Amino acid sequence: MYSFTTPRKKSLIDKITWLWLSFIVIMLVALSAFGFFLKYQTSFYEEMLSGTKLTNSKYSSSVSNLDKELKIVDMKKALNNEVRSSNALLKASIKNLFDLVPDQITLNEVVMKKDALFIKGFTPTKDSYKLLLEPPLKSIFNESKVTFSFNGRVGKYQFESMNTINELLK
Amino acid sequence: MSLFGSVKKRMTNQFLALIVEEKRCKVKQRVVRGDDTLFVEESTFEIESKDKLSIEVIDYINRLQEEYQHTYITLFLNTLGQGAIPTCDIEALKKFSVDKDKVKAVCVEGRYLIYGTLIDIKWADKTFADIGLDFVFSPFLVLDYFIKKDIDDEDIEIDNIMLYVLSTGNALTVMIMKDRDLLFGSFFNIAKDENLLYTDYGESSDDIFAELDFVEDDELLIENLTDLDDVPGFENGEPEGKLELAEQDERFVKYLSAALKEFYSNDLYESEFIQSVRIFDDVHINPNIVKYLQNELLLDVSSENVSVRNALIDLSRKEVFR
Repeated sequence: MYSFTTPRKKSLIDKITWLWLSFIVIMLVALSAFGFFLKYQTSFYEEMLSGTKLTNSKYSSSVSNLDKELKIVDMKKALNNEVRSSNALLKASIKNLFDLVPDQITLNEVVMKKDALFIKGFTPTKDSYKLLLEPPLKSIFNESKVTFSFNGRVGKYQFESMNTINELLK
Repeated sequence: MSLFGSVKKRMTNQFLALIVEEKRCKVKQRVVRGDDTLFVEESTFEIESKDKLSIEVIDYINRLQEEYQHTYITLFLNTLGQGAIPTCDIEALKKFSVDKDKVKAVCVEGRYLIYGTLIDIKWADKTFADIGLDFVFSPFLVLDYFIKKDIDDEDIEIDNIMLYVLSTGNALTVMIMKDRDLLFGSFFNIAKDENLLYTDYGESSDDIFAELDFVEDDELLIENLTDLDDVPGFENGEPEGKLELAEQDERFVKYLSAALKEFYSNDLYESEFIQSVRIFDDVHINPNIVKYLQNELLLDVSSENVSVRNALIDLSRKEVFR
């Protein structure tokens, strides 16, 4: 510095430019802050969304489990209904069967299957059986076989009747 | 160039160079961007006194400053309270009867020391209080600027020992150089036969006497030479060849002769014989002066027209973009 005085300090930019630059810088800072805020909010909501998705998937799997359970319950219900109707039908069949059996004939054993009926009992005579019990049995079952054996102790014929049908309960 | 200087250089800068003389103020405006000059204008204003700038000047410069954010105002210091000594040792000022506490001294490239009185620098600050001031350059620095250009110019023949003179409107700056080294430096005001001790610095005369006692030697020297009979070629009051010189031109020759006499006679200076004078002329001096110097002082004289204000602007730019 060869001058006898020191030069006045000068700003690189004038006052108006300073104002503009300050405004721009302030705006940049504000926008950046807002941007960061938005980014923070977005990540917050994303986290919340992923949490919700996780919960959702848990609930979904729970719903599918419940669906399965519901199906099982439905199946059980159907099965129950089926059993009930079967029982009702069986009850009706037994009642019908007992209604079919005349007073002279006594039954010792009845085995009812889906498409078969086994009856074991005593009849005073073979004709009693053939006249009173066999006709209704034959009307129900496709095939009806009977064997007789005389039981001297009781003084009656013991019969074993095996009746089969393809579609007994239909 | 520093990064800050590099950035500043790429912006638009305005440089104002001012030379304040007794009755006028010369202004040069140069607007630059990088190395390109965008605008140049020169103006001269009449002023009442060197100590008070006219409202016109103040308004003009302030208006220019309002136009450009980066305006640098440079003043050419042409007051008497200054000088140059051939060493950078500030303690050496004492040998030259200068009180180092009362001057601002600047070493120029380790080659020599220029100084200006604190009073003169204060005067500059006070005078430019309404405008502002960035640089105040010594005339020795300006003359050195032209000398360097001369030395670097291979087309100009120069001697080993050269007497360089810078002629500005009201002042004469003299430097005797041995190559790039200063042997002698002196500054004169040629506007009038002004006794330095009566210069109005706006302070009490007693203070001025106290502050400026160091220049008494030079003053006595000038006083002794007031009579042109002391100057070679001015014997008997009528120079040979009947070359007519105006009063100011006579002072030019008188003070230049005084400087030579001082250089040859004062033991403080390394005396060397001078054959050539190179005048850097800012004001178009009377050609008879050159003839006088050639005929009567038997010196080989060459002159070149220069612009001190351009030099001031170039020096300012170097300072700003360093």
